[in-house]
Amino acid sequence: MDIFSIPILDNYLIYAPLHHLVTLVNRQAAQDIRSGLREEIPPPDAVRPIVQKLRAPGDAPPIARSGALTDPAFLGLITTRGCNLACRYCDFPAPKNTSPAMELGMARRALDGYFRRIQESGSHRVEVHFFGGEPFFAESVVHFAVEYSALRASPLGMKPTFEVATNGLFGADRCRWIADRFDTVVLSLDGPEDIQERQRPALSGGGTFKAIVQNAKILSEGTVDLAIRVCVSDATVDRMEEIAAWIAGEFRPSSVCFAPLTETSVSRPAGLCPPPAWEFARNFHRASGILERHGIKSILSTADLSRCRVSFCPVGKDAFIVSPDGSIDACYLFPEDWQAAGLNLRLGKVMPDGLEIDAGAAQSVRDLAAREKTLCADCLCRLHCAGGCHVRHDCSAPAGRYDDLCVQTRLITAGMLLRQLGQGELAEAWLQNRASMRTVALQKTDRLLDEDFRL
Amino acid sequence: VKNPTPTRLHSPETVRWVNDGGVILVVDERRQSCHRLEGEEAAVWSWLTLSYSTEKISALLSAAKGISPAEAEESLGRILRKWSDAELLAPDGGENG
Repeated sequence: MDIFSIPILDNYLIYAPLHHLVTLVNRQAAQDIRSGLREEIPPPDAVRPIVQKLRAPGDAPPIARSGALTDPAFLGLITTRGCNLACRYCDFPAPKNTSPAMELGMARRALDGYFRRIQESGSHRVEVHFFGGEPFFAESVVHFAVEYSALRASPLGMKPTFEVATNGLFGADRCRWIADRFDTVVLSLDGPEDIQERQRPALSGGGTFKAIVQNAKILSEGTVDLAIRVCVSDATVDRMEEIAAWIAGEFRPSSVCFAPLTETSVSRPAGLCPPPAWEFARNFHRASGILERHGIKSILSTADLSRCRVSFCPVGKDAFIVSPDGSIDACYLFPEDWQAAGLNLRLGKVMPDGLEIDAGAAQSVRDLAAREKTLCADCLCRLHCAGGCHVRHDCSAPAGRYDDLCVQTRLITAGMLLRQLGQGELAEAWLQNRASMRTVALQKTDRLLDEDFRL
Repeated sequence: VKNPTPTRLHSPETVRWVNDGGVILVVDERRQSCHRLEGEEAAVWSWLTLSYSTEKISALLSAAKGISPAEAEESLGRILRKWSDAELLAPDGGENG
């Protein structure tokens, strides 16, 4: 049973995601719940409703997809691997200026194949996502694909939705078009001017801040769902509250996604390191409080408590991500990256008459996403984090041997659960107590019914 | 013989438009008229708002419709003439230009 518990100062947080239950109880109540679930003693009145709820069948755990590829999550178009920024932490192994753009014919064939599959499945959901490099570095491909999708969808009575992950470095007229035509824009903006210019300079070496801020304001004014993605380094981790206040004051995003910097071959020489997990988690909570007051959601991609899943990314969800050369993969990272991790995420190829998907390869990817992750076996985040990035996060370590990604995910998940319970003040008190945070971060098993779980 | 000096078109200030899920509604306040643009017309209008040249739009239209560049150019010409006749577009230097 996926019933987890973690100590928060003198109390215990009980969390059962498949039972939609989260509660904060004292030690005695936690012991009573455990004994009640083990049927050692009848549960006292105070905890009986909790025990009854936990004894009832919960939701089925998420499982890997199987069967025909009838309902792809979305079509992804990597319009180019090129980019007009030279982010200090980006080590994408593609030339910034000379990477080829997807040809319009390729975009058309990919969309035709995608529409054909949607029609065959009887689905009406058309979702097109754009990735890079910087997708607007090959802007005419995006401009074409959006209008072509609309052309294809209209006679079928469908309304396509469009999402893009972008650096925001384009003209104001372009931005107004994006605000008008896109449903979701994930904009990378690392913070106020000194941070942005240090971490995300233009390829030409010039500043990017003013243009991107202007565009973030244009996007804030429209109906597009704006998500701002902030890469947090060791140099900016202590400024997360300031960054949150600045974003809330300047723009109107629906969410801010804080992403801890991942060390790359270029980040350390540039003087940028990943933020310490503890500081990141603590400041995430404080930044969340600021954003929450403005109605803005704060996100850590591995701590999305809104659903249970087997994969935290498109891998395993039958997303078809098309590269400029027509390869179809399950992941937008470079093949070199996933090959280095011993993975094969290739699904097929765009052909003149449609998307040629290898059903066996697709099932292998689904199974990969749902494979046993020993590291995560007893972690309360396992149904939300799902082990994180399949390519970059190794989950083969023994259960409970948590790394930095796990630590920050665990601490942030605990804090989010406390906030859900309206226990923001307790969360803040807990965040002041390094020993208590450490206990939560490194507790080997969170399973309340495990023999090893100590109350 | 093509005109070596490209003509720039603009929509007069009294023309407003909104894109509603791929359908573009164009309202001309002065003429009290409303136009609903769908399909290739909506696509062309959208590309015009990006200040693309007719050559570029022809190329996009050619790819979208799977027709030759010459056919796309002809199709685009028809659309632009229709909008010019309806005074949704005017050459730069003209009214409101």
